[in-house]
Amino acid sequence: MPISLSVGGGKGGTGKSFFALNLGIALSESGKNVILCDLDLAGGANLHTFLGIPYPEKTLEDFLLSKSPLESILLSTSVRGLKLIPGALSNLSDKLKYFEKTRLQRSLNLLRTDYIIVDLGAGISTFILDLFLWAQKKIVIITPEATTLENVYRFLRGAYFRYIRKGANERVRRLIDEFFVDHNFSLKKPQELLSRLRSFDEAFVHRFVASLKGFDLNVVLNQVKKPEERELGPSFKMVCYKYFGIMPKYLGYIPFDIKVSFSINKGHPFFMEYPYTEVAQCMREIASRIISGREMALT
Amino acid sequence: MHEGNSIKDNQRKGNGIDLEDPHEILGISKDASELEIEEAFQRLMKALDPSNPGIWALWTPEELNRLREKVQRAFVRLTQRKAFLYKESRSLSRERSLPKETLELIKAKKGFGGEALREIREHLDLSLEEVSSFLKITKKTLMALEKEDFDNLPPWVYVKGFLRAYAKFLGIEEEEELLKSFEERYQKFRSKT
Repeated sequence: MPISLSVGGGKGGTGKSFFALNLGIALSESGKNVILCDLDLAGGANLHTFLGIPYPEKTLEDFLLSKSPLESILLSTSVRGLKLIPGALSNLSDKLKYFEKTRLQRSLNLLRTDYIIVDLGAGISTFILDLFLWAQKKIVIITPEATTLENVYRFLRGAYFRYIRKGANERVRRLIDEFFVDHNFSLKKPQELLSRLRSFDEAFVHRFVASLKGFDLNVVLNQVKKPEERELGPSFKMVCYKYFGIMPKYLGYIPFDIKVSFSINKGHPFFMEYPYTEVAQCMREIASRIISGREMALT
Repeated sequence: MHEGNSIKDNQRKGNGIDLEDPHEILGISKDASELEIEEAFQRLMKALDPSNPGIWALWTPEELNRLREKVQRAFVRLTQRKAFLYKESRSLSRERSLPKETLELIKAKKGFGGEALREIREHLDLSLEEVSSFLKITKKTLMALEKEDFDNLPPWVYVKGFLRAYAKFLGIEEEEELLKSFEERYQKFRSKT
């Protein structure tokens, strides 16, 4: 089975698609077969544009609505070893049913490749959160902007509560839902939920907490403009540990580079256009950390 | 399955891990080196700062302060670096030093002396043992200071030094005022005996 990676983070414009694409290229550069899947279902799909394909013939829409097999919409790209599943060009997020989501996940698991990279759209809908959780390696992209960080924290909160709910039986699930009803949702903390659940089902909480050790969360700090902003990567890691009890892996940072937007407008992947820039070098290092399972040294 | 955990044990365990364990609090392994401990500590203090962008989505500033204090205590337990703690907790107590009104209230109720010191110390959630180990003043003397038990206190020059150190440690700015009020009672007692 391929190794699946999901790229998420709540807010738009933080570089999720840029990262997903260039990670795909960096991985294929080191000899891996990669399938890139554009899962922005709210109509904002545009990974194909990054690759200079303005009008993909078939998109995820065909898979979801006309039941074409996933392989049939796989598109070869100008990058050797990299294939693309173009995203739907209209808004499907309201139309999708539960079984379509599971069908998508099943089909993705059956693809024959080394890596599947799933590029998620903005927002924290349950569909997005579920696909984020579906992947083995979950990657969030943060930037030094306060609004991004705020959104990513909220995104992860949503994912966390979705995750605990998924593993729960009917009874515990009801307790979780009740927990959110009585007070302001945004103020509820994982710790509070756990201590409430503990008195009802100690064994469940115990299992759940143990499972957090295997929660493969990764963070990439994008658009770094000043060296001191690099501190935010390690800092984010510690915040996650304190709040969720999950210690993410810090994969590395990517400096801000105006050439990124030039390359997007030209329809040439950044990595191909500027292979010897610091951005490309950082991407290569991140890719090698993903392959080896290591993280960036903090000091 | 082992079911011998007492309720208290379970309450202390937040994430199924012992929340009071200093290694867990700092997020490091049991065999972490002194350097790793130090780094984790610095990083956490920075991460849990209310000015850390976006963090307000998760905690209120008050919650963050409590978390930081906990991290600080864990660090001290691991390193036993008291000189460092002394410095840190002074800045900490200044940061969370009592609101002016509370201080005034304590002063009005108890006068500015030993009782007030005890009350402020308790407000700041510090034990006599902790204070004693930072200030290198015996617990007995600290208790005598707080109770204004003049019989068990040394001559004034020493008491003066102790009081100064203690007041600084608790982040009390009105050191002179405290000294004056304390000395009055002290000298009165001495002149009687």
